[in-house]
Amino acid sequence: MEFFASYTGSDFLAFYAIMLATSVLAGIWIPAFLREEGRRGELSDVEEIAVLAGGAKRHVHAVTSSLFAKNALTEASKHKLRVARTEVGESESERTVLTKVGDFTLGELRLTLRSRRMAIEAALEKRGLLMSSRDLTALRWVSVIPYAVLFAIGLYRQQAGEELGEPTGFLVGLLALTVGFAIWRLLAFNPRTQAGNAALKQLEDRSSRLKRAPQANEAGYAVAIFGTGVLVGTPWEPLHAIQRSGGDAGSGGDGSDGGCGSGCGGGCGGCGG
Amino acid sequence: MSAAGPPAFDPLWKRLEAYSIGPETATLSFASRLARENRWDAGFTSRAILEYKRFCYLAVTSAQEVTPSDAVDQVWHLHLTYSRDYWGEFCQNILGADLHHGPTAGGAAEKSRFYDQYAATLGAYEHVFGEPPPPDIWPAAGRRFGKDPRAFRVNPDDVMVLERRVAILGAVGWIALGIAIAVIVGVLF
Repeated sequence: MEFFASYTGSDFLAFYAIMLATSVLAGIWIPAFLREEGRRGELSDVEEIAVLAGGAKRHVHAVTSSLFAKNALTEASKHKLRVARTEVGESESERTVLTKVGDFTLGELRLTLRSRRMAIEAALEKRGLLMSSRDLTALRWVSVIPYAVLFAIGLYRQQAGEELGEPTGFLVGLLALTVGFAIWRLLAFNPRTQAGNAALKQLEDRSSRLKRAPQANEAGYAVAIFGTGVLVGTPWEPLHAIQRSGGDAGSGGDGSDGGCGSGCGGGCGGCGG
Repeated sequence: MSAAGPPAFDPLWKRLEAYSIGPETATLSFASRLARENRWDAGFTSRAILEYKRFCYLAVTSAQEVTPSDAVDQVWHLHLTYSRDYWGEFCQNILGADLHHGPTAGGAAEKSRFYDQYAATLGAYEHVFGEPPPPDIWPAAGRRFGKDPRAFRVNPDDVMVLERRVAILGAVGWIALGIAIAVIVGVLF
């Protein structure tokens, strides 16, 4: 460690910044190459796709989007949702949501659908599309090791510098940045196996039209694959606003009545226009 | 979605594919005028005209009303101004039906109706032609109904047209240059 102590403050800052960039790359490289291979498989169920693509959040978004597009859910006060029609539920999750009474948030729905989502996760894990929780945890921590080592080195140098009365403000800032990156690496972690990634990529490639303008009966499927961004510009955009605010804040209504501008109807086949 | 296959052997599609819009002897052709008015290059213009023909095919063969993208709509608008060609030749002899253009009446209900039609049109396109519509000519709904309707005519003699990205980068560049000059002046003097 004397080697590091012999660095001047600016030398060490430069070294630390380079190592931090290297750690970020390593944090991306490690999970990309050590990710479990899994088993190739096709997906067709909307809920399975949603859980694979975006976990609990995406699962709730896909189910609610499907119901919203069927007019079974409506926007209630303070960005909550309310059941409007109870007879249109097609899946177990949809039927469960439609039993809700009063106004509810998406967070509440996440709890309501928790057991269903966990069952789907278990099934995806069994099929080799999601990593097991043990492997996932191990890979998560392995990905954070470069940050931990770098933080330890930086902290040692910061302590040494402080003892010598050197200014260490910039280094403290870099240490905080390192912790921030490490936390981000821990939390934003893709739990899919390589086969799961491939299955999702295949779905994305096959569904470019859905990303642009899903029809009402495709809204849940499109959101399952791509997220609620596909609802922008659709009649179900208020749901996107609720989802972005986590169901607790933000504005909902699409309000503008002139927004459609010059949309044109081409009536034909004898139907006129 | 399963594809029905391209309508290569459908006489209607054959007529559409072979059709050249506007007088062929004109110095300023339909395609050149379209490119000039929309600032499109020749390649994009020719693809937009092909997509317009595909749109017309869907309009005539589909049971429901169809809604074009903005690019396809621009081709349609210009074609409508060639009224002799459009009504006398194109609708009568090529399509075999009158294809009317119905702009929106505005309002939330219309927005929803046109969105549904647009989504159904993309679905029908994929089904009939066996491939998804090209995204640069048939964009996402957010672009189609949020941004594209804001377009308006400008005359380059009156205004300067600058891409938003270039304008922002230019502004940031000038500010950075100003700060750099101020720092240099501060250090030197």
